[in-house]
Amino acid sequence: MKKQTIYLLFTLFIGVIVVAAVLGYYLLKNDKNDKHTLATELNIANWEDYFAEGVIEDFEAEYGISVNLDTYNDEEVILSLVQSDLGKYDFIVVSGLFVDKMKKLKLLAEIDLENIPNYSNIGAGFQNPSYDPNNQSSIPYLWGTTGLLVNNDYTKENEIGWQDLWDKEYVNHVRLLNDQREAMGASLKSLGHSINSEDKKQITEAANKLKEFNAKESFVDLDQGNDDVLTDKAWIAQTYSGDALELIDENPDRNLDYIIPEEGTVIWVDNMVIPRDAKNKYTAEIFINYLLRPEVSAKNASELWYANTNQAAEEYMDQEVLNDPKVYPPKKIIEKSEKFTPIGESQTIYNEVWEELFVQ
Amino acid sequence: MKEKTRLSLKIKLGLAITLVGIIPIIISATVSIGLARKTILDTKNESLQSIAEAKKSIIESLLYSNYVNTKLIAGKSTFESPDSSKDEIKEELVKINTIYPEYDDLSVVNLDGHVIASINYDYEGKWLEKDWFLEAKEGKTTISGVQTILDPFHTVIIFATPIIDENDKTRAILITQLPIDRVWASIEENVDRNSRFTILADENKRIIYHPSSEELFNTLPQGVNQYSQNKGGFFQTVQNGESLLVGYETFDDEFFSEMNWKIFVFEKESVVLKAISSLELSIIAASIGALIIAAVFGFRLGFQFLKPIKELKTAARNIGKGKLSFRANVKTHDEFSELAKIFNEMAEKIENLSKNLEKKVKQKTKELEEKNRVLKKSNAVMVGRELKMIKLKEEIDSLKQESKGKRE
Repeated sequence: MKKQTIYLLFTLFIGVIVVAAVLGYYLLKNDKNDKHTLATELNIANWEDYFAEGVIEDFEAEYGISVNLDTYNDEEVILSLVQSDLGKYDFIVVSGLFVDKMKKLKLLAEIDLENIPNYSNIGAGFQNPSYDPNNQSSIPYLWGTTGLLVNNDYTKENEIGWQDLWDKEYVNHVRLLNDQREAMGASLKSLGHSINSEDKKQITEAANKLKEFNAKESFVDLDQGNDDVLTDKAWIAQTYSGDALELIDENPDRNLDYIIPEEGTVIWVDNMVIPRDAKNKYTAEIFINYLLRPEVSAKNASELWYANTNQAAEEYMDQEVLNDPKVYPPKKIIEKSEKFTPIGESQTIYNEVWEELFVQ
Repeated sequence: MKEKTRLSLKIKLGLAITLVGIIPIIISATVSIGLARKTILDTKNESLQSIAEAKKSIIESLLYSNYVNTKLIAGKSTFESPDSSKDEIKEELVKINTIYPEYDDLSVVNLDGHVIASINYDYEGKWLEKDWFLEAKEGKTTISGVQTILDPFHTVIIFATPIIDENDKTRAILITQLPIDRVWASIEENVDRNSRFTILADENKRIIYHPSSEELFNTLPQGVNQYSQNKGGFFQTVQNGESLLVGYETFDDEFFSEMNWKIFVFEKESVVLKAISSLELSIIAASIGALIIAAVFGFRLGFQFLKPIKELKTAARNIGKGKLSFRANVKTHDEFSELAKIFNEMAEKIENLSKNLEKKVKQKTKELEEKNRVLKKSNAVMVGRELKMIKLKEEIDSLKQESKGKRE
């Protein structure tokens, strides 16, 4: 009897320990788990005019979530904002180059693709990009090209290249983007070099060419450049495909055109990312999934005149946009074009030559 | 059944005594070890916090002296003069860098956010997007938080100060860039990295310095963050299965008002406890020794109790079987021998009683036999008379019959 009691007590003791351990483990585990409940509001930021009309409102109506949208026209702005307040935004859109930067700065959250089943709608060519293998922290949004918005009342040829920016006839009527990589890219391309050149000689050469411009006047932001063309202050402006095409669409009476330079150009892909300390990560993922719906994605791309990374959306896209070679450039142009990649330590050379353009 | 009972008592007594011996020994051993640990951990914790405080002061002094240097440098005439050319400014910057080699870059930036001259041009961001730059434009000398240069990857702290011309207007901004490794070198100590290390975290709880570069920019682990909400203090946490003691302090000097950094000094608990490990071992050894002694004596005592009881059992059994002369032999000179004595007295009485009883029974039996004989005799006489009476009656009856017959 005595022995039995001891045995019983011992077993009970062990049993209690085991139960406590298991309970403890699950309690701790749950602390780390994401709470899969939708928030009541979502704080997002995107480039200016980078959502088609109604896209956000429809999301708000369907999910009963209030969406707060901030806009920017310079990626450095959003980078600084995110760095100083990691939880400020739940969702932002940045180019591949910036995805790379933000990953290095550990500013991005790992996206749970299980919450984004529509990810499979993304075209295979856009999945698993070099700047973000396996789309750990970014989901492709729209893609486009950098090119030239021209006013054919003043410009001569039909085939225009970067080289023509330096045409004596267009002096003072040319606008380039006030973006180090874009402007240098244009110059490098005009010389037949890569936009990602790390060669000091090539970089200096390209910068010297840019010296022919009055930086303060000619290097402007995206909206300013397009505006100047509209108001005839400028005749050629370096710009992004969708912005130019939308402008042309809205001004059918003007003799405007978007040209992809014959030397080839920059192809960029914009991506949806979630800052690391976002307060409503799960809701942001649901929002991304919504944006990847074929009809929604098609609406976005079509209205904004940007090319879609979403293959499933193609059947819903506006045919005019889908068939426009300025939105979806032909193979021969794509072959001559490049994406921006980080340039390593030669970044300091770029910095130096670029700054020299502004300080005489 | 017999066997079981014997074992049970032995164990009961042995266990009881061992328990009474064990509990105090265990309690005192646990308490001693507990106290020793607590003392050493408390001492260590407080010292870790003091170390954190000391390092914080060193960093603050370093930052302050760089702040002052930057202001000083901005006062150079070459910078202030509107006639200086770009090259002259650059030359001056290079000269200054030889006097102050701790800076990994020096730049002069104009009010439009463009670099007039710089030694390395390694800052990539847009100056006008930074609050500390804008504040410098307004006349303040500012310290940025931690800035990252991606290529080559390193982190810096930037000091920005206005360059004022003779008309008291801000002409440009002087930027000095201090690598955070310099900050680190100032508080490094020659303590074994394996046992103690320090980390810095910014106001966003992101690690801005860590001996392991992989941890840079990660968020402070929850186990560290949740216990460091005050201005300073110490706590214990488990990271990667290792128990760590942590002392921390917050940078809350008004001067660095924007930079709400926290500095943490970690030390492995196992290393700290090593100091008292030999003490702990001795306590445990002594306790085990004491336990063994308690157990041995406990069981021996058990035996001691057992013998007289066994003896009494045997005696009782034998007497029960009828061996009334059997006596218990207990010479322990204690209550048991007393009990045995009383038992024996009782046995004696029983024996005597028994003997007396036998005698009396014998006597009675004799008397009874005599009486029985007498009774038999008188009984025989009575029976004879009875028989005679019956015979007489029969004769009378037959005579009666005869007389009756004759009358007729």
